[in-house]
Amino acid sequence: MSYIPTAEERESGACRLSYRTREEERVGLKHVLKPFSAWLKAFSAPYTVPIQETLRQASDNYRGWHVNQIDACTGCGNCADICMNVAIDMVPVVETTKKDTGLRPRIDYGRCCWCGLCVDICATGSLGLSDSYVWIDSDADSFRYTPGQDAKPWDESQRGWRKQRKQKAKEAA
Amino acid sequence: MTPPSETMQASKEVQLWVGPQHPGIPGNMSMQIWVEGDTIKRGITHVGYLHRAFEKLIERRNFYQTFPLVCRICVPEPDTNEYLLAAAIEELAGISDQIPERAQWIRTLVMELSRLGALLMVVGGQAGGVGLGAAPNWMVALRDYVLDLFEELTGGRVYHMYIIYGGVRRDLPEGFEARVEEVLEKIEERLPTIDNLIFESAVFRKRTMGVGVIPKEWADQTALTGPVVRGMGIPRDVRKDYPYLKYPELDFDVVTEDGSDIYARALVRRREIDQAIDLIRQILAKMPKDGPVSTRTGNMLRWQVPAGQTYVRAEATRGEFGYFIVTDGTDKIRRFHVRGPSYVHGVSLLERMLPGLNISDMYPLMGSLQVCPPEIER
Repeated sequence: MSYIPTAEERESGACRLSYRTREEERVGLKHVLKPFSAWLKAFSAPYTVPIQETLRQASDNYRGWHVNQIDACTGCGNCADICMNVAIDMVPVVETTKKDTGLRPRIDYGRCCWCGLCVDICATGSLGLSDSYVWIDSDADSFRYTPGQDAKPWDESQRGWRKQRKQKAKEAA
Repeated sequence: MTPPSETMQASKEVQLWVGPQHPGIPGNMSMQIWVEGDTIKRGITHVGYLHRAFEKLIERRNFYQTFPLVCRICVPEPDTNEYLLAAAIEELAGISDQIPERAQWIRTLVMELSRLGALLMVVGGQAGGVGLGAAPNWMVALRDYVLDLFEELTGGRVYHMYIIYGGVRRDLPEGFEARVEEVLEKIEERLPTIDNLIFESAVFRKRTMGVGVIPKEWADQTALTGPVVRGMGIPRDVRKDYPYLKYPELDFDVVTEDGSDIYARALVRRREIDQAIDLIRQILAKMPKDGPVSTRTGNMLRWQVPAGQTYVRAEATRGEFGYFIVTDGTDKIRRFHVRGPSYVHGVSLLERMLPGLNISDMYPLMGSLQVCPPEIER
């Protein structure tokens, strides 16, 4: 199991040996004073970011809350199959304009790990992750919702993690 | 051997539990130590506070589903894990020669960026272990700039989930190289002040020089790797010894120091920050400007990899990191094993070093061995 020191090691203590000379280990006045040079930073501008009143904007690729174009989605269920945390259920939606399975992904944020595999596998490219990352609610059940059907502030967001093929096509157009 | 608490020594020695909730402990682990006065007589590492059974979870998921899991095996530096999983599966699937040139350069860039971020944090952490407060805060602030780069590149700040089978998930964003250079300059500008705070400080020198010395003959006895062994003057580095990715094309020397104590290990890491900055500049200069960044693998849901087994390794900040993977021709991994440097450093080595150590030197020592508990109990 664990290492049991020999009697000799207990007495001498292997960690008491040193490969350094006394000269190397010497601490002089220089070493007492030098750390105080950090006080010079008191006169330069701070390089930390002050707390902002507005939220910091996330990057273009950010993996935040899900968005779904519910009309483009065909309800194939690939996103639910690839999800390793079983965070996605396919649930019937109230109305769809197309003749398909009639199911749409519902995300459970108690399980989601924001890996973005559901977005990468989406055949239509309708599912995406927005750049929005703040959401406060006192009702825990509201953190399980069907993106696209349940209206959220980030539904219209164009930024965030999207399927690459769609992105390229958009750039070409 | 009977624990001292059950013998006559019980009145002489006091048994202490340090952690898991203790500022000196490097993560979710605890130490059980027996002390006599200020001197540690014996110590045992206890893990299990973070056990998520990574290995077993991975054996129950198909290949694409495993990849968001591995980055959790080491939080400060997840990209080594992602690369190793991708490299092992690509080798077993027989597509390792099809990985595009640019994807390999991007992987090398990501590995070095994550090394830079992890080193900034751990050098600050080592200073924190001896009670210096300002340096760790400044180092973590610098690391935040690196995390900003990762957010832009991969979409996540801490868990990147970026290196995937067949290449990487996205190409570099426009103007990314320039922003990397900006961050490197910012870091370089602030490092001399931090050097004055840590390596020129009387407190740090007194507390770390000649303390926590590893006898040089232990290097092979306990299979030490990484900055721990390089601090003993032995140039052992996976990037040189078993080259992978684009490291053979980069120009760098293995950093070594002779002291074999806590100070030497901190200095190795500090010099490796300079090395990582230099390597990132080399990578950006040598990287092909465009080209594909991934190649096609099988269907994400039903990809099957031929039966076989392999061991791949890479140099993490803490030492040699390796994956042993067995596949059996189905869509799942048959056996998955992580060889983390922390197991060696945090259990075999640490328990061997504790006897005779002063109790207040235990925290700088643990910081200098850079123990990462998830690797121990994977």
